[in-house]
Amino acid sequence: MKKRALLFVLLLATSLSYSAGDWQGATLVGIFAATFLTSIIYSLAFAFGVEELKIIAKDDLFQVLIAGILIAGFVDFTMLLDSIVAPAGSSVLDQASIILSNKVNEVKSAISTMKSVSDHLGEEAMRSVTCSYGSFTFSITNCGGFYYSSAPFATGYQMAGVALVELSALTNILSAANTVALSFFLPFGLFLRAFNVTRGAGGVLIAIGLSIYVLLPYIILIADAVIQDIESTALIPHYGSLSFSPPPLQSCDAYSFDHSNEDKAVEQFNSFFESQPGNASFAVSFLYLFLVKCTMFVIICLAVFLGGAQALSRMFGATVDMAMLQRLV
Amino acid sequence: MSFCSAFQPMYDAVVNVSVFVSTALTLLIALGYMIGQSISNPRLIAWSKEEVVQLLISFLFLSLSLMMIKAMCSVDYCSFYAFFTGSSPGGSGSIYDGAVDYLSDIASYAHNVTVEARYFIGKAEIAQSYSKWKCPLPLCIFSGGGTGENDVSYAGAGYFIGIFTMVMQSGLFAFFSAMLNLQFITSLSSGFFLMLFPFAVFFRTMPFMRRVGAVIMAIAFSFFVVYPFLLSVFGLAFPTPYHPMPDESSLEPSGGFWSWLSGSCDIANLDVDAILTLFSDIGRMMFHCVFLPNLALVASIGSAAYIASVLGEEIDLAHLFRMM
Repeated sequence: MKKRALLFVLLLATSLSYSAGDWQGATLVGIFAATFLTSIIYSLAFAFGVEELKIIAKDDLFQVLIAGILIAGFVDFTMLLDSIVAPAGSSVLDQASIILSNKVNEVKSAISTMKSVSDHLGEEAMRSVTCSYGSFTFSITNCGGFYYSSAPFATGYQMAGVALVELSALTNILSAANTVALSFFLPFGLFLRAFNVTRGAGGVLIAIGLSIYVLLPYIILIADAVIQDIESTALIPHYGSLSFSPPPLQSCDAYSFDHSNEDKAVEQFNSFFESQPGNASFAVSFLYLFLVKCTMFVIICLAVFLGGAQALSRMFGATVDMAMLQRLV
Repeated sequence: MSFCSAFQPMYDAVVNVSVFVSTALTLLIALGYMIGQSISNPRLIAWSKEEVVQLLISFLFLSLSLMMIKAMCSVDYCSFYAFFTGSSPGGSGSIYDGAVDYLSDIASYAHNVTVEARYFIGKAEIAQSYSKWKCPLPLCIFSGGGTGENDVSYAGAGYFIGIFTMVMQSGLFAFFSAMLNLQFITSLSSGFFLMLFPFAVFFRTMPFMRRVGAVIMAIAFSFFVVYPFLLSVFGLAFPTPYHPMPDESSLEPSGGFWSWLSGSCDIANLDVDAILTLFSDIGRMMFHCVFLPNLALVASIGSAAYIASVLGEEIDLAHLFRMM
């Protein structure tokens, strides 16, 4: 028993010394604090000859060591993968942050483009002329044909808004990887997990910390690769590359009473769906960006992240059903 | 009044009641044992022996829970964070105060974001109502100013009303979620929830009611210790961002009536950067007000299930989560 305990301690110390970062100190504090308290429990059990308490204290001590080794193993594995997957001087976490940042900038730029188009079309759609002579007045909205733009652009803004909101939420979760995932969640979770009554809470904290630091960056990279693959195999051959430059915008002449305004409105409407050589149409590009490149991407990331957190929390002894949070996603 | 000082009288009462209940139960079990011995009833003797052990377990768990609650009141949550991370987020108070502060902050954040969404709805509505009357000179003179073109320059702002309404609804949802959690945790400060502990000790010792006692004890522990604790930890780990209240006065024409009459439409311009900031803040708001409190709740229920299984009862977790 003593030999096994010593072996665990040596393994843990080796794992922690291999890992690079600022979190090991805090984790060791958590491990030593938990070990110290379980040792006191064991001493008391030994002094009063309570065999059950001795068994519990031994079990708790092993839980500390096993959890410590698992954590160190996970983080070491991440660092090893970093050295293989990420470019030199960078990490998978950095790559994931860059991907999210690029997506946010893409959506912001798309919304700005959409606004310039919708501002123009909105103004055109509302043009009207009024003729008044004495008590006789008539008014006509010659540009009403342009009013079609209201529904698709309002829907487009809703999709864009949802995409940006989801990306912002994901960025917020990922930001914790750099700040608290390892330095706070892990050592503290480890400490709580050492004791029977708080094992559930500790397991959840460790699972969240590891999911944010280890799982999430990789899921972001993989999901982005999947989306890029869809783009190159399913989108580009059929529709062309994404293009966010708006088609030429038509102007309406409010004083024109012939069919020309309606023709312009129809032409303008069709222009949003017409592909240019090698490029997807304006509508397809925006739909793909908002729905697939952002919303579907975030859903994949969060679903796998929560599923991973649930599996990890089970591994660390806490049965937490993340299904409710997945439904929120 | 801090959270802990609010429930201190009830805490003292619960300690007294718990001691009283434990003593009474010990006497009851001793009486059962004596009667069992005197009438030579082995079932009564076995029951007494079993219940003494269970009472001891209940009492130990109760003492541990009350000690943890006391410890959570004594520990300053910012110092606790600084102990692990080396940097203090600023502020002071117990772990419970940390949870209340966090929920208050995120409720305030959600409120500000919701107010801004309403502000943008108002701005878009005003923008799309601005119109210019373009009266070509010959027609104007001929018709006495009554003939011309109506130009609604900012009509496109109306296309944003749908997303602003959705954002406002999300804001309200997040605000209600934060307030619900705040109300729940504030209700804990009355200390009445602590009364579940002596009841649980009593039920765990009574015949056929051990499972009820185990569940009550696990739930009381999870919601009085694990839930506020996790919220406090989340508050430290994910500081609440700040969202300023919008300047409502900017919806008035800056130059007064004459500025409006001269066709100045400065206020009708929807600033894209401000809109994008609002959307990003909605994402943060959903994360803080909906995701994290629900995660704390989910973890608390998971913890309750774990403790209940340790104390001898399985909770149907899936059923509870479906209720949520």
